[in-house]
Amino acid sequence: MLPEPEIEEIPKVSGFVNEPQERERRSLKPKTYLVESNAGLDKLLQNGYSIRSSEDRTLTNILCSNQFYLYLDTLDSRYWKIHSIYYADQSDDAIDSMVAHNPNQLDYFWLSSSSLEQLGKDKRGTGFGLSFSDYFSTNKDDKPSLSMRLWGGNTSRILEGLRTIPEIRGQISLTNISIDYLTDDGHSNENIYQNGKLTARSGDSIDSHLNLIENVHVDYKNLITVIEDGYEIEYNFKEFYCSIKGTYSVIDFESDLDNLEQFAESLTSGNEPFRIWGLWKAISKNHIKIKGVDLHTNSPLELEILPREIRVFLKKGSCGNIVTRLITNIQTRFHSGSGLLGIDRADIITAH
Amino acid sequence: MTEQILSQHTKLINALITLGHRTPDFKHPLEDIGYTIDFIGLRIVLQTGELRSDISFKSHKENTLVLMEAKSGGIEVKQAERYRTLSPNDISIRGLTSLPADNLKVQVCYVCTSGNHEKLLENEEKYHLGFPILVFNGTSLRKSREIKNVFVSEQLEELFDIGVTFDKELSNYYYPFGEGDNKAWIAFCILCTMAQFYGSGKKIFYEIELVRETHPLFEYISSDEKKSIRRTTRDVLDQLNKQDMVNFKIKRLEDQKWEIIDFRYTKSMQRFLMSVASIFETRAGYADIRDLLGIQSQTP
Repeated sequence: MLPEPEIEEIPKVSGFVNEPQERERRSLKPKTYLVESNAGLDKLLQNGYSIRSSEDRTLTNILCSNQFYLYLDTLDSRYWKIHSIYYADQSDDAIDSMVAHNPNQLDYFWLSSSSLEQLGKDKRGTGFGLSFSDYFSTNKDDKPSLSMRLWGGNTSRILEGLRTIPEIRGQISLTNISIDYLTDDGHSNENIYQNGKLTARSGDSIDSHLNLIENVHVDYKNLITVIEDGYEIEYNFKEFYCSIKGTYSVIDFESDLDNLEQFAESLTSGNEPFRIWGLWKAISKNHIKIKGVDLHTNSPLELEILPREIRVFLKKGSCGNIVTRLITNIQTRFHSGSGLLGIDRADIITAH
Repeated sequence: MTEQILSQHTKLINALITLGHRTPDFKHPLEDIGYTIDFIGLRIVLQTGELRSDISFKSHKENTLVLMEAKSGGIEVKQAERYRTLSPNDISIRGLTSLPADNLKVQVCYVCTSGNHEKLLENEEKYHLGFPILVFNGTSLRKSREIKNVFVSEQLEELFDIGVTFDKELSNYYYPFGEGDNKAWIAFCILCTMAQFYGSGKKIFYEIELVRETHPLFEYISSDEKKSIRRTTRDVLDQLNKQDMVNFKIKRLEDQKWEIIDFRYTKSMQRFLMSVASIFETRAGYADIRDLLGIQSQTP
């Protein structure tokens, strides 16, 4: 068993480094990372992680950098909860490296801006963070970007106000929220991040933290089920006919894409955060086809890019996490007013 | 020249599938009047020969099955005769529809593009088949007004008399290509599938597996189209086999069996494969791709 880490005093220095964000980076507060897995613990073992099982077969300790443990809960074999009480920056790095290594077949819980906003509803908001950077802009010298962190109440009204400013309307994409979460056992002040990380910043009940995690876990699982049940395509081949079940989903933009080819090129590079590798071809001026691979699972993926939308085609058995990854990152990297539509233009993930 | 990548016929088949298939971004007027897509490539084996309807739609409310036959040229007389003598019993007795056999109505309908509309009108004048004809012009599907043939269903008659408009680019996911499509486009699709095979761990494959995976409805297209697509597949693989690229190698194991030896999901691989596909755009065809792309070979 590793010794518990020594708790460092946060240096009391003046200036930016002592801002709350920096404190959180070095914080030892309980934090949980929600991760989607398409493989299993075996993959982590194969890929060199040191794993120690516990008396509970759904709880496993993962040794990171020979320094600290992450505590993995696999009660839900696909949607994992990884707890840490070690420093946030090192825990973050460990999770990022685990997810980024494609053979592990892991991905974050991608909580879109609207999903974060939804999570904050009916709860006392204590802050939020925005981050937008136009990933697809052709102008390298002047890429539209916006980033801010706000502490305090009235978060919904502030967001509404920001969205009335036409110049930045498409850049108001939440990347984290802070809420006070109350349960019968007490309360917990939580930061919830776009990548499915939850940090209990303060409070008097760890059960409140765990309860919130469970709620996020169930909501996200339900969302992925909606995508995988209704928006994957299956052919039924018979001797005398063929039938098709399922359809595609659509990522709908609030404004037109200027340059479809540039968009396709950026999207298919294989890089983070989209993790899509593929080939693309213009079928017409307003229609680009992408055929490629979701590097999270190596599953085939097809996209069609039109000026106002992306059609997402998944084969039966694909991982629906690609859709949440796409929409979440399009909101923070192209236009925050993008939403995910299902049949009859019904919202699966709302635009802001 | 991207406007000509897909033939009107390929667009037409995709328009028909879209028409009977609920999607997020198109209206579904056929479903609004109770018709849904039943089958694709419905094969009816009769004593007189075989019929293969491209797409069939059914309505429980009207107990009607609509067999749509997409035409890229003129009609085939023997096939037309089989359609004319086809009875509802021929369908129900073979269990080819979920509609009840009692009072089942079967409607045959020809669908063509603006390009071969005249040809079908000439055929109709000569053979008096009596089937309504729908004409697809790239963005809408409307009943031909040059002939008086009508649908048995008043609702269908009304719908197609007004016409159905597709207000944005049709998807070609379901039917990616046919014989008349741009060869570079077909090559592109084949190369993508090969890259997807590698991802799924399928490093050894037969050509027919590659074709079937690339074109989900391959088994439902004409034998001439099948031959042509298989030829293109062979050309693409032969072309790749000649390449001696860094981090890429395929090898022929048997006549139609191949192995992907090395492949990487990199930017340079993307550029290489997209350029290989575009080679099929040119008549010059199979020049040394490395020279054309300026990509360095593994060997000096």
